[in-house]
Amino acid sequence: MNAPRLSIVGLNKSFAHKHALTDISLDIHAGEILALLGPTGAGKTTTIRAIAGLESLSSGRVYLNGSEITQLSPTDRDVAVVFEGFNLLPTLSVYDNIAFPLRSTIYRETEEVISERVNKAADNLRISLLLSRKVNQLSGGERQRVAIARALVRRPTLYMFDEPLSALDLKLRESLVAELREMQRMNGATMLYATHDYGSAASLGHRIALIENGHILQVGTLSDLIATPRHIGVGRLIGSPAMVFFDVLNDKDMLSIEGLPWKWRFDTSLPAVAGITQGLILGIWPEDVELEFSPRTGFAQCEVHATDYRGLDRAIELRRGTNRVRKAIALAPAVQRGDSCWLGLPTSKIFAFNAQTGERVPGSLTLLESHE
Amino acid sequence: MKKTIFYRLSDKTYCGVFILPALAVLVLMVAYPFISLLYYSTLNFSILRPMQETQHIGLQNYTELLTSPDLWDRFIFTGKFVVMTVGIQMLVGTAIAYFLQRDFRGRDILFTIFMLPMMLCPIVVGFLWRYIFNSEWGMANYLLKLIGGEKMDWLGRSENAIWAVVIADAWMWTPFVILLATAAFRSIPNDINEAADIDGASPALRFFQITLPLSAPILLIALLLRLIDAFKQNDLFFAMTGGGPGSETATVSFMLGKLAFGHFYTGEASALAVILLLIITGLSMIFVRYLLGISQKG
Amino acid sequence: MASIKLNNLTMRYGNSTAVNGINLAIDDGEFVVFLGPSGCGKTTTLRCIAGLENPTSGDILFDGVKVNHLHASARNVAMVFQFISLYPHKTVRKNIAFPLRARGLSEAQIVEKIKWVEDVFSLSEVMDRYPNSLPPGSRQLAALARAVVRDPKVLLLDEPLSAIDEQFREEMRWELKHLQSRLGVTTIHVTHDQREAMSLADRIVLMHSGDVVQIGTPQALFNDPINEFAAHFIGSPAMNLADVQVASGGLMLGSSLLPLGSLPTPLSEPGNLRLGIRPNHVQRDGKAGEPGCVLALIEDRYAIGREEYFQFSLGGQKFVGIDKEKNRQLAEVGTSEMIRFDCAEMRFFTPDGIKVVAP
Repeated sequence: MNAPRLSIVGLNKSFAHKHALTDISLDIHAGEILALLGPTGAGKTTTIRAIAGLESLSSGRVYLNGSEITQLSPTDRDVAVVFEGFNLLPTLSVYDNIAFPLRSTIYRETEEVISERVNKAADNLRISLLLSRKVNQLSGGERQRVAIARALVRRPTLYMFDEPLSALDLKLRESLVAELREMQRMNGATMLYATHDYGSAASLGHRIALIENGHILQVGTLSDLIATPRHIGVGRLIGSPAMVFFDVLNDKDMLSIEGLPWKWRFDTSLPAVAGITQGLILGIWPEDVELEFSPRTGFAQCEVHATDYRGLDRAIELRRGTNRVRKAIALAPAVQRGDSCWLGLPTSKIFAFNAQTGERVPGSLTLLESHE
Repeated sequence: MKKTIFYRLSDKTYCGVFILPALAVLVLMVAYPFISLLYYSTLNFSILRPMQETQHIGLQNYTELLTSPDLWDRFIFTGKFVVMTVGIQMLVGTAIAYFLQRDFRGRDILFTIFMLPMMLCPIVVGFLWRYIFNSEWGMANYLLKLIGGEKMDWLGRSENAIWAVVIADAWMWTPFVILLATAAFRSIPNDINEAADIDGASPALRFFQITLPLSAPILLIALLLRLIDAFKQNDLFFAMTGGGPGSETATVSFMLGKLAFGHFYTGEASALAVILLLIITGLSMIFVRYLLGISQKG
Repeated sequence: MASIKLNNLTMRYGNSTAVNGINLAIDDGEFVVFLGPSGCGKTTTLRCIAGLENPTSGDILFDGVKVNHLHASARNVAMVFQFISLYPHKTVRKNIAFPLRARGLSEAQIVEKIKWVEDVFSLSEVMDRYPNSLPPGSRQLAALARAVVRDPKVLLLDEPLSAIDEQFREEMRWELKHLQSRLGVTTIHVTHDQREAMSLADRIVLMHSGDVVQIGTPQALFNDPINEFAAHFIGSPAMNLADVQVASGGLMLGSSLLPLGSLPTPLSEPGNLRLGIRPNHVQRDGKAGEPGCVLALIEDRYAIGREEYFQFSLGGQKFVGIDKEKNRQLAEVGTSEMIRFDCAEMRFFTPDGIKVVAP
């Protein structure tokens, strides 16, 4: 059967004064890693807890492997969660922590089976030498691996990771992302991975679900999200540097950006309502922005305001008036603060977003005038 | 085996079920007696003579009490006592807690010793200090004579007696303030203290601008609790002065005790109890409002 | 503004050594980043400089004058802590005013200085708000403003950006860099995030288990790491590191030969080495027989943003490469391709992990 591994439909959850989740719907396919990307407080943890059964829902349904589990208690759901704080049991040794789920009343495995599974999981995560240690003697990275081993040992239908890597050193985080990817390759595990870090989400997730303020903005592969962002939040969350935004001035039917020398006409299939062109924000991916270091017609002159050495490349910030553009460029030629450069915005790559709702307004831009 | 039933109960139902026993106790042991109290306060009634016809006299008990100059004297005395004892407790308690912050050898032992007075039974404390303040052979006068002073009549004269009871009460309850102040000081993150250090604050500036304001919520709770307790203080007065000479050192609470279980004027006593309750509740509410105001900012 | 010198700074707690004899000279106005994994001693060193801890031995000098004996409040340093530690019961304005009041400045001076930082840090909108109600990023700026308002000799930052989301962190890095260069105050910044270090630092002090591993500009550390730890720690994605044997004609990885052509081999005789090469110097445009080219089976492929990563193994060891050209055909998992290693960018380390200097 081709039912997705996990399916959540219309989840809604409110706390006392706040809507934590509004109409959350997602599918995760077997063998897939879905990254749930969003800023702190967006609802990632609440979503994970709802799927695990640790939160009651105002409405919505959860399906695992095609059957509904919405009413089941957490112990009866075949999911494993690695929480942000790892939630290891401090009084038990590493071995006992990993073995814990197998000894619960639901699973009740024999000691031989337990021993074999625990050792295999520990081996997988290279913590076999730590099995007899007490949890509080471990470093952050080691605890992380114990928490993952504990999830691994159950072979659940779905793994969920709640930002387990954000507190750790960056290097540790990178190696563990590689670890998880490897684990997924070998076992074909299905995973939901929640994070606020675009880099981790992009390198780990087959698809990415963007969440902001309790709403799912868009779900898709990274190339989908880049090619057709449906919401301004997508531009904010994806990319390093993220999307460049410009506030739009509206004069009759012509759009322009203050301080920049171009004017466009915006044709949209949506009914022509004055409000639409009134409150628009234009966005473009920095990779699509064109940059020259000598004058070019049709390009706007800007000043390099700051540079940021990133090892493999350099990120620079250009300013003209109140406009700021951040883009990554190659290390050569060496660019310095104060240098001039010329900025070009290819019309076909510009997206228009509704300034109020944040949703993308479909339509086409045509360049009318260019003063430089 | 799917445990679906428990999962279906909403959080609210859970709350209700768990609160029920406590609620039942509350109703039986507090609500019912309280309503009875209000009722009795409108009667001319004594439980010594329950058979005698009881007259409903409405609010007469209240008016009599509130217009009695003697009762107002008692209120003033009580007010003096409360301000003096709680004032000393808060100042001394906070100061001691301040100095006990730094770790030095023997600090923990010292701290434990400071806690001891609070552990004693109030009536025991009362008698302890009564003997200390005994004019003939008490420790207080002995020490006074040692430093060249005169023997004082501590407990026989009301202007001295109030000091005696204040000292006894403060001695017993200052440890409570030390405890809470220590907790308050400890709850301030170390980073903040270090930041103040680096900012160049002198210890005094740091105490008044940083430590004290951040400790305010807990210290105010301590203050509130001490005030309520001081209002109710009975055992010390009972042991040390018996309310005397005459009734010069009787607090309102003490009066209440006399009325209810000395003279058995149940109706009148009930009315006085209600008056006291209103005062304490009123004060507490003002406090809590203020406390909430402080914590809103943070 | 001050120059700082650390002479043999050592910190021991009982039997363990947190900081092992650091020698460092920092110029006036320089932005130095102490970088390293947790537990490497960077925060301890910072706290010694601040005066919050007393080193076991060694000297700390500001402008050539020893300050070991001075209490934190007398050193005229400013510090921003990891969890910000703005006074929660004071508004931003009062927070910034506090250090000025502590030093006894007049009302007029205080008002003037507050106005100045308000402008520099763009804090006008939040001046009368309380720390708990500030948006992320603003708290860091407010803490920085408080630090900077009294013209400290040295600005010390203890992982101030670690408590905010990635997307704000990037914003803050730009701000911080900008502010520091505008104010010109000597700054020491502690972090475990090497991207932060590369972005902000004039020089990086890389530390590991209490020792200084390498000191240099971000470019120097990136292009010329002094040992394997430095090579691995700096740079994201991490440098590829593998065991190789030097053989005639090239390097052996398991049974695969990576020819080096006419280029000199790193060792004059056959032996074991560790090869390091960054993923962006590993490409799929190799030609058989040419230096640095070898056939390998593509095991995995993934994209981060617009960059295509591919993974393969040689001699059982994994390598990651990045496709440079965007229009290239994507790597197919399961096919073999000619991989080209950029020989000029290869780095070699002894099996102990120390850099090998090419003969």
